[in-house]
Amino acid sequence: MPQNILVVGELENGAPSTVTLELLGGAAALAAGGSVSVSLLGSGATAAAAQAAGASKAFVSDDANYDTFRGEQWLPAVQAAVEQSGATLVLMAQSTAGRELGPRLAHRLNTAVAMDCVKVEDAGGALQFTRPAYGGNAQATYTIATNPAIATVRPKSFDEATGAGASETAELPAAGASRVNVVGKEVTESEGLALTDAPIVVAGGRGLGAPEGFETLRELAAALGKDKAAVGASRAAVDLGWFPPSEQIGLTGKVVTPDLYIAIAISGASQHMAGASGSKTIVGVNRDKDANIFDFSKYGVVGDWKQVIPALIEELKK
Amino acid sequence: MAAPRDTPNRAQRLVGGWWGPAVGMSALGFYATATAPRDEAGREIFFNVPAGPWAVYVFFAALVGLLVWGFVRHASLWGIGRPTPGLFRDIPQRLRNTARLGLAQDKVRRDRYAGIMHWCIMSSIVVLTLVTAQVAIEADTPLNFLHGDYYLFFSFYGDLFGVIGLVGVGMALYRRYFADFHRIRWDERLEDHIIIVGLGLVLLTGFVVEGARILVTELDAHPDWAVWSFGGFAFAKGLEIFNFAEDQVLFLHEATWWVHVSIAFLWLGMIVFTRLDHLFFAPINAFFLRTDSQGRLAKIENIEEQEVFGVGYVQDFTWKQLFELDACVRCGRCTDVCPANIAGQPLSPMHLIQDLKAHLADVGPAIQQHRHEHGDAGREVSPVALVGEVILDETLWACRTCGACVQECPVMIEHVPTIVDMRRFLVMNEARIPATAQGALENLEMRGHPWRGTSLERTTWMEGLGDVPLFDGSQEYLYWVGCSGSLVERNLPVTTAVFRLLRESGASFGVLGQEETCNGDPARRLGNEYLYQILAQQLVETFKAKNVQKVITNCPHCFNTFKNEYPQFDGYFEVLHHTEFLSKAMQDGSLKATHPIAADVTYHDSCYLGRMNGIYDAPRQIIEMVPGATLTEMQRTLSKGLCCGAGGGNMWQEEVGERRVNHVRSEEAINTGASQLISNCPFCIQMFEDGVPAVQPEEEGRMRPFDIAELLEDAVFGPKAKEETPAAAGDSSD
Amino acid sequence: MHIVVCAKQIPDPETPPSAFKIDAATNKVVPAQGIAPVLSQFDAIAAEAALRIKEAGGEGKVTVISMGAESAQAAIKQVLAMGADEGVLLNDPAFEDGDSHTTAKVLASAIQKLGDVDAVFCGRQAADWDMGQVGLLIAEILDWPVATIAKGASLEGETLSVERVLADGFETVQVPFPAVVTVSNEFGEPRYPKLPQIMAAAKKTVTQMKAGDLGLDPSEVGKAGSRLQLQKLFIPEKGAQVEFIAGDTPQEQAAALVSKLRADKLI
Repeated sequence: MPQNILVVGELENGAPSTVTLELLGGAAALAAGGSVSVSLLGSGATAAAAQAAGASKAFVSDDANYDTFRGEQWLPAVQAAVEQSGATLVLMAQSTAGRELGPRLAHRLNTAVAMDCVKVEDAGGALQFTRPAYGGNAQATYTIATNPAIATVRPKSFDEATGAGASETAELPAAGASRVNVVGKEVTESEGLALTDAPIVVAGGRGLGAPEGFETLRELAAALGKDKAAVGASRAAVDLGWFPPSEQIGLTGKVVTPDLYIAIAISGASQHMAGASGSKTIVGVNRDKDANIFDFSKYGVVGDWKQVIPALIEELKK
Repeated sequence: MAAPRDTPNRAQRLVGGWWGPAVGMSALGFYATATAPRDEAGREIFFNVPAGPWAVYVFFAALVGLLVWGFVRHASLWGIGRPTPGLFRDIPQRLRNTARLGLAQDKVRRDRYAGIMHWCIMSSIVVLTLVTAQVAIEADTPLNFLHGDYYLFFSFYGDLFGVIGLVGVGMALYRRYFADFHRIRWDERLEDHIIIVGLGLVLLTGFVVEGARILVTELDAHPDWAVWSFGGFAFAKGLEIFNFAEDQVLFLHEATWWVHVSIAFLWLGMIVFTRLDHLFFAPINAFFLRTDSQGRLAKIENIEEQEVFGVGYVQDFTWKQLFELDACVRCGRCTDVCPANIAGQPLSPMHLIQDLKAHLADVGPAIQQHRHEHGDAGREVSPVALVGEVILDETLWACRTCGACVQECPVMIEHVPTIVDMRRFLVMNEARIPATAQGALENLEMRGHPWRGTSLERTTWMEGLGDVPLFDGSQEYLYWVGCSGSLVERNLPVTTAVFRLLRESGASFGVLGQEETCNGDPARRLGNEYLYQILAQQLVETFKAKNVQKVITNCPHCFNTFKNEYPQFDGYFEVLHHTEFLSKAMQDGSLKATHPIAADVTYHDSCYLGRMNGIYDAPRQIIEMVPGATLTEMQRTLSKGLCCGAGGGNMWQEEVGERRVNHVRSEEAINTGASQLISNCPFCIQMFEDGVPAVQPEEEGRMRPFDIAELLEDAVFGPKAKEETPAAAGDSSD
Repeated sequence: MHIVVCAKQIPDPETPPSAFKIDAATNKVVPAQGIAPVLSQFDAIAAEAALRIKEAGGEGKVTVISMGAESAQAAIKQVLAMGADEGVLLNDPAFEDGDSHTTAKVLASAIQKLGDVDAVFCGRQAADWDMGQVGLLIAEILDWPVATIAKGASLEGETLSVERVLADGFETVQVPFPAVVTVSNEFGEPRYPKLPQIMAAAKKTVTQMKAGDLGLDPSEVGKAGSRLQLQKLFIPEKGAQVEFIAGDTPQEQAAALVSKLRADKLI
């Protein structure tokens, strides 16, 4: 069934962000003959429209007041884009902006939003939205009876769109007032992605043999994405003074539930797993194929981390 | 079960019986009095000291007055405490404790050097007091008995104990001034020097006085009498060399007599102001010592009606807890054996007791006055907070409740209940808890077990074991698996080992499976008595409803709770730890260890099986019956064993300090050269799984921690194919 | 200052995966044996944030509101034990099986009924469905400003200063009252209740309200009023066993692992 789709885009260094392109990629597949448009707000939005692959039309405003996301300012603009585009489906990222816009937009349009979807598909006429629930123990599939349907989508759920950008642009109004006033921002340096928030956690244990091992782990985390991966340690490694206690994972440290947990040279003692077993996917790297960690792992690599991890870093850089 | 191996043996007991002969000797004196002829050996009392009699009685009267005043002063401070329940129950046992622990000083001898030293000094003081008393009786009553053979014998043993006293003083001086760094200097005060030097002076001047008298009255006239007072005789001989004129010797005698008597009374007067008061308080505290198990913590009755939970104000201690603060002699034994202190963590039981004592002295009188004037508890009187300022939170959290301090204390102070009382205040009244311990408590409340984040179920361990019988009241035993036994990955093999051995032994037993829930021990040790009581009451009811009579546990903490603490909730069950059951099963032949396990093992006594419940033999008997296994004991073993570090809820806490206790203990185990570290407790095993690799980073030849049931399982069924690591097979000798 | 904390009772998120079951016929989670429902952790943290504001201000009131069955009393009592002053339970069969929209409508109605509310604190999301909508929807319904995913909140004069967690750091925003704040785990652990307060909480009466009390028609709440319709709740297929990554060299292993992780959309 054809869908007119509006992707609520976000800008990153003057261009549509990676996840925006992913949403456009998904939209192209779901449109089934309908239109795909994108909204872009902030400095350079008009210029960026040309890079919004897969969108035929872009709703833009170059007002610099949009550069910092404020829900109350973005909402009227996005709402205008939805109305002008005649969208039957609105897609946005499960990002800081999407998390706030999704529910609020749904309220203003008297419709509903499915949050944090990993799959959006057209199942014989009705759109189905699938998302994890119960800490990843379950998945739920929804339909939305009202129009338009809105979904926020987890990054990496679609492949990025390719091809030409939007050929047509329409101007959205400049930003209005916001009762919420941003008075300061602090960007945490690359190491600072909180362990508990990172979608990917790379953790090392005593089996690394020396504190220098964590340097390699940091390289791996950087290769996975500085905005995604954080490095943690088992208590054994922290005890040896190889890593700061604030980054300890386990019964007496932090409890993390990332999408991907890569345990390197960690035996998988219960006290450690207490802090990591909620991870959605665990990859164990250990020399001992009987190591406990493999009882928890989806994927296991038996081998010396000193060889496996540099190879992995190389592979990721390709 | 046989008696625990390290209760004092008979020979040791006799050493403590020193007071018997001394009292006997004195009794002999009274008996000897009536018939002896008048002109035999004897001496003039108050010879050469005309003013002596009145001085002695003035001094004596002053001393008695001082002691009474001192006692009243102390007692009024203890009096601000709460009533102490049950203090006069079990009187026969309390009298035995007073004799054995107070008078015979069983615990002082746990340090051999100190035992000898203290025996010398104490026996000297008691015997010389009796000697002096006899002199007084001779002088001031119609009784005349210090003459003839008894006088000579009297002279002999008086001098003998004078010399023994000097030996003791010499040993004390050596330890205080010449021995290497020593625990008695951890809280050294001026009084310590004065006491020991003063005592030495009393004894020495006594000999000088006696020597001078002998020189004048006996050396020439009755040399055969003089030799009986061999000490005085030697001094007389010494003085003789100087060829003093007789009036010079008499002057020396008189002057020294005054010095001797003055110092002696001053020294006795110090009882009121210094740790010498242990002379009275130690035996009394032995009487007050609990007669139930050390493993039992006091129940807060009617907990919902308390004004304050636990002890956050000094007046909320029981008066026995305040009394025993005064018994402390700052010997440092408690701190010396404290696992937290050994690992450089912020707890010294001795300093804790001394800090409490100083705080009581500071604020006690004002509280007392406030009570007198206002009649309320006066909790706002103290300008400093007992918990948080006088005693720091971190100090209270560092305690493992392992009982080593209580075990060693020669004056029978019970540190652990005092510490837990303050923890109770911290947790229940103030809600100040280390984050990870809080997590464990919240987990207990929400999920009925302390293991946050476990992905196991209470039935996971049953997989692959065939039919696991559920307890329905028809079986003899309930096999209580416990939270650690079912929800902690490492302990599942222990649980299955115990299960297989029970089944093999033919025992009639069942398990509760999903119906198990925490018995509350971690909550109680962490200070949440309220939560503990809820959990305990529920479980007692479950047990009763299921008609549970006998329980086998694989966890010493569960064991201790069921056995010692559930009677507080009207839950009386026969409780066995698996080591007890298994050793009995092996002895009666229902279990046979036929597969040799060639392994050098060492054995770690968990605190709650060993110290708290005195089970030392059963596990060692099992090891002895495993063919091929040889046991090497660690330096600290049996009742002197060191905690693994997990006790008292420290399983769920981050440790603060230089080292971790489990690293220290693992190191001690590794030093035995054994390839397996055998224990009996799921907490210990986890601590060693963490500690051993920290001490031995090399995997090759690393010692492996096992529960004794795992060892026995291999010996009964043959080593499991799964155990392919070299250490388990015991062939990794280095 | 009157702050409302919205609290939800949820199936224990720490239920072991092996005990986690779904009834396919009703699309509902089967309560695991012996595992009691719990207060959503984010809501406990929201309560902590609200209590700190109240305490910093010296006076004020914290009311905890929960929509749920009678068993949700336990969640309310837990927040009362932490120090909240009053509890309200919105318990009506008509409320059952709603979506975020109907839940927010019920909660917002209750907040309006209370009347004098200055701020609403919610968890950033409920730890069962993890939607993260209700706080935002309450703000929309009441037309109040909202600050989401807070890791800190404090009173600054007449406004509320909130530190918000962003993907690359955090920002500080100022919000005028009345306002809605959703609180994240970065805020810190909720307090451990003091026993005297637990006892006081046990004695407190929780006010009960039904749809009628809030002026809501059963047709606009619960399943009847839902816009987001659950079609299927299921346990995703999982490789029960660890899959060892084949490869003769570390390079081959690395390449194979990366392609698997990419296929799973994990990297």
